[in-house]
Amino acid sequence: MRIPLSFILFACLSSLASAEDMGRSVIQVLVYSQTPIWDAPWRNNPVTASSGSGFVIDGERVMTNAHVVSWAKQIVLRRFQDPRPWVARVEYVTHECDLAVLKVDTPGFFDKLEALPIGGLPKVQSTVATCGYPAGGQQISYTRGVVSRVEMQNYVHIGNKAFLSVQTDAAINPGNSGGPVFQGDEVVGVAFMGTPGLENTGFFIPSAVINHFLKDVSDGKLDGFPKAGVRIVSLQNPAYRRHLGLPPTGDGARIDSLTDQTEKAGLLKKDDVILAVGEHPVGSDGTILLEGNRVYCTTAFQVPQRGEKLNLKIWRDKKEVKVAVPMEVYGDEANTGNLYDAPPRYFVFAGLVFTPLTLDYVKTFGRNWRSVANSEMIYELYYSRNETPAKVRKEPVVLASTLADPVNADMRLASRALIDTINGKRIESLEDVIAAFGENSKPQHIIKFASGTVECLDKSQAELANPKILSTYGIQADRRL
Amino acid sequence: MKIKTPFFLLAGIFTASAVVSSQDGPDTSWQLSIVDFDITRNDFNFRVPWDKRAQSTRKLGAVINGNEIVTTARGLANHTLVRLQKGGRGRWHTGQVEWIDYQANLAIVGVDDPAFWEGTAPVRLAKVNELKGKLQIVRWRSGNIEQRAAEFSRFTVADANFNQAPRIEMKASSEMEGAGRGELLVSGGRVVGLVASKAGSTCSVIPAPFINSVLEQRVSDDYKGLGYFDFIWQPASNPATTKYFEFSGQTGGVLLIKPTARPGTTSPLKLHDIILAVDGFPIDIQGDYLDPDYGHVVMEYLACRNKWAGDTVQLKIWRDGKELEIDYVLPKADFTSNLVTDRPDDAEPTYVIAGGLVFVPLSAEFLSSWGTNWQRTAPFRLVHYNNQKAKENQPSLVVLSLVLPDRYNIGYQKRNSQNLVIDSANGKQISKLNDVIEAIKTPQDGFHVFEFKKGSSMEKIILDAEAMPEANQRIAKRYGIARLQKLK
Repeated sequence: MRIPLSFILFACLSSLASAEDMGRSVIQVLVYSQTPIWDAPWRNNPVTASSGSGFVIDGERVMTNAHVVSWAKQIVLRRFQDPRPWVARVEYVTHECDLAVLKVDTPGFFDKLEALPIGGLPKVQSTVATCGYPAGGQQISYTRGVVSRVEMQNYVHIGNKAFLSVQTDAAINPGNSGGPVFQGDEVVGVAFMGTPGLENTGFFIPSAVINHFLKDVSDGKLDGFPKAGVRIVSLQNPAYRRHLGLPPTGDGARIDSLTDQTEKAGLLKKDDVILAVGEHPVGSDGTILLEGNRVYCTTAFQVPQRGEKLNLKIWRDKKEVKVAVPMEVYGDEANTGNLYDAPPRYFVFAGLVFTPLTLDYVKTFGRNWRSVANSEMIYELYYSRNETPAKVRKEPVVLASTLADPVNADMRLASRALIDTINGKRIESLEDVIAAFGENSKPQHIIKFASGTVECLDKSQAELANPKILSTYGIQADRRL
Repeated sequence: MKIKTPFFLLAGIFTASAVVSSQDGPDTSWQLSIVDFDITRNDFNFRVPWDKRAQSTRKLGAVINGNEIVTTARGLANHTLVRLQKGGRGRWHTGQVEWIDYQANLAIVGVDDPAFWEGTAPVRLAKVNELKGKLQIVRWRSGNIEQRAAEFSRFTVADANFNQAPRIEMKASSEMEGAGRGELLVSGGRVVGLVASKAGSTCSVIPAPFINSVLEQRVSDDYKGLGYFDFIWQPASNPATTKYFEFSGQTGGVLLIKPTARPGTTSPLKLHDIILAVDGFPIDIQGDYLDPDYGHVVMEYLACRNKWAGDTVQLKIWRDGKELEIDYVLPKADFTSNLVTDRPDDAEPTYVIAGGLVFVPLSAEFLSSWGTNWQRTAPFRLVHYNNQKAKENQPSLVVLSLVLPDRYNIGYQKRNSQNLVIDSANGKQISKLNDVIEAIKTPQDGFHVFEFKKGSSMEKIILDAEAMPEANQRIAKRYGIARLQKLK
């Protein structure tokens, strides 16, 4: 398992002649943040203080990690050897690849601070240096290491996406998240996570990912990384290759399955063999050669911006074809990853707390949530989209808890259950919940759960009890949509 | 199973005096009645289904009338040798399992050697009103009788692991270490029950009246097995819910949320019927009823309270605003037709190995190979099938459980090719292992095409049809597998 290095800072490489000068552009990021309580979504956890690092980039901006500034209530920057606090704000943040750009509105912050140039992908075994403010220390710290390997890694901040990542053996200390990784006089990455239990194993976000983010937001809005919507598997079995009309050994990886959207688009098909992505030939194990490193071919799928086309060379029906795939960003898997900065949506009615089914919600079951949460929820969250796309709910809703009151006290199934229907209406979103209660003409409301269990509420009593319950439990608004 | 009727009568007369003499006082000597078991059994690994490992198990039983021994069924599955020892020491005699019912968790064991029975005394099983006296758990330990106090806790109805077969159980607490292997729970010279398992300090005991009723049925030569309620209900404790279903009767009953859990069957019950009474016993809003013998227990026990599979129980239900009486025929507690098949019997694991691809039925035994906490530790997708109903065109499922690496199946040896539920092979829908075998007989243009359920981590595997027989031989030899397939 890997963790974001919220408090980690690599120290700077002494071999860099300009290290000290570049260190002046490394910023300490001090954050007060407050996370929501996902099963009591109108409440928040206590405010906590944390710190990370950042560095100045073009356009009088500071780059850091998204996880450094997530849920921030206040962001204060400290310059090298400057005791003054500078209040900053998030200009853009992308949680999927754990990057953020900060702005400082107070004039003077960027005086005498030079923007650090962003370089390319460092070679394996080459030396890199990191610097920042580990362990919340007041003084900048420098360390050195070599590039251990370059490959796709799951980015733990978002939890459900993988991007290119560089592993280094540089000493990792708590506090340097968001700090720059230097090679020569260029930034080649942003330090962002480590692996507990493994020594000398830290990771930084390479420039390809950083540049994609910066280019993405250059038009004033964040689109995110597009995806092709395919699962690519190796094509190494000689029989399968022969079946597709390919030589027993050679290049090309196979599309084993497609998302519903990609299938409907019709440009790509099952059993298409991807021979090349852009200029990169694809090996039978699904990898491409990227500056001397064999990395999974989805790296190349992450190069285009939203709306741009990705050129694929494909083997289909025993001949080679070229396909230009328009790359689209899909937000349909957002709930299966960690969510940030947007407080959870909810609706409280008669003490029943409804909220969308999200990874953050199921994590309230505890550390072993995968084995504790009921299987209907896990199936709906992670499997139904792939297995039964026609039946998938846009936003599955759960009864997160029930705020005890005489009106709901006889309900036996009072929390932690996936909703199927309310008053006969299939629940596809929180708005459906509100509509289903509002449109009911019968004297009782009936809630059917995914398990088949049903519970009812007396309609008139529920209407009467609602304001009192909100008041009793200190809920300012019955909904956040 | 064959029952030794002639011996039954003779032995009954002979042992009657022994039983009477054992009633004289509380210091009843149980040494004439408790028998030690040493069972050698095949312990199968359903994930490596061709592999057998001999396992030795010790347990206990009680001599009953008819020169027979009653014990729990647990530990007897797949036995290859049953040895018995009386008196806690001395010679071991070979026995044979004459009758076993895994749902009832009871077995009868016989010993052919007449010498074994010399000096033994059958136990007397307690009646319902004799269950709550001063309780003790008795067993052999290192050649001596060990006797520890136990305290009655409650009666409860337990489900089996995978299915809903109801069993009445007595819960009793005791500090006896390692109990749960058929020890005798006794009181006043009578056997109150057999200790089936122990968790913490709580023993689960099969009560003597239940044992008696099962044994009587067995002797009648008309043993039909336990029945059960195949519907799923929820308590009707919420007045708003009962109002919604226009129930205007007296408070009580349970609300049906699945009329039948069995595939391909119809039920006289309908969704959202409210069951008010079973065989005249009113059901309360928790789903309990007041049993004259065991107090408040869950209604499931009414499926086997003096009833057997195939018997009819009368249900009083509320449907569409009025009360109805309907007959409900108890299905046999047999879960072999579930989507995830449950065969609590002596069947060896079945499998088919084709080109190193190991196919097994998706069964309770297979899932249990992940351990007692299988619901948490087995692959989620496989576990989730246990909550799903079988489809008519695919009443059961077959899993590609693992791939035995060979050059023939290269490319399919990673974890994403394991524990996949197969949908079709060579275009034919797969429900059983036989379907796999049949499908392999008709390759498609020289290839075997295996397709797995949508959403699987690998949806298709293709192998060379012509090269498969040679690969099979090579794989069997390399992995020391005597048979490449084992079916029922």
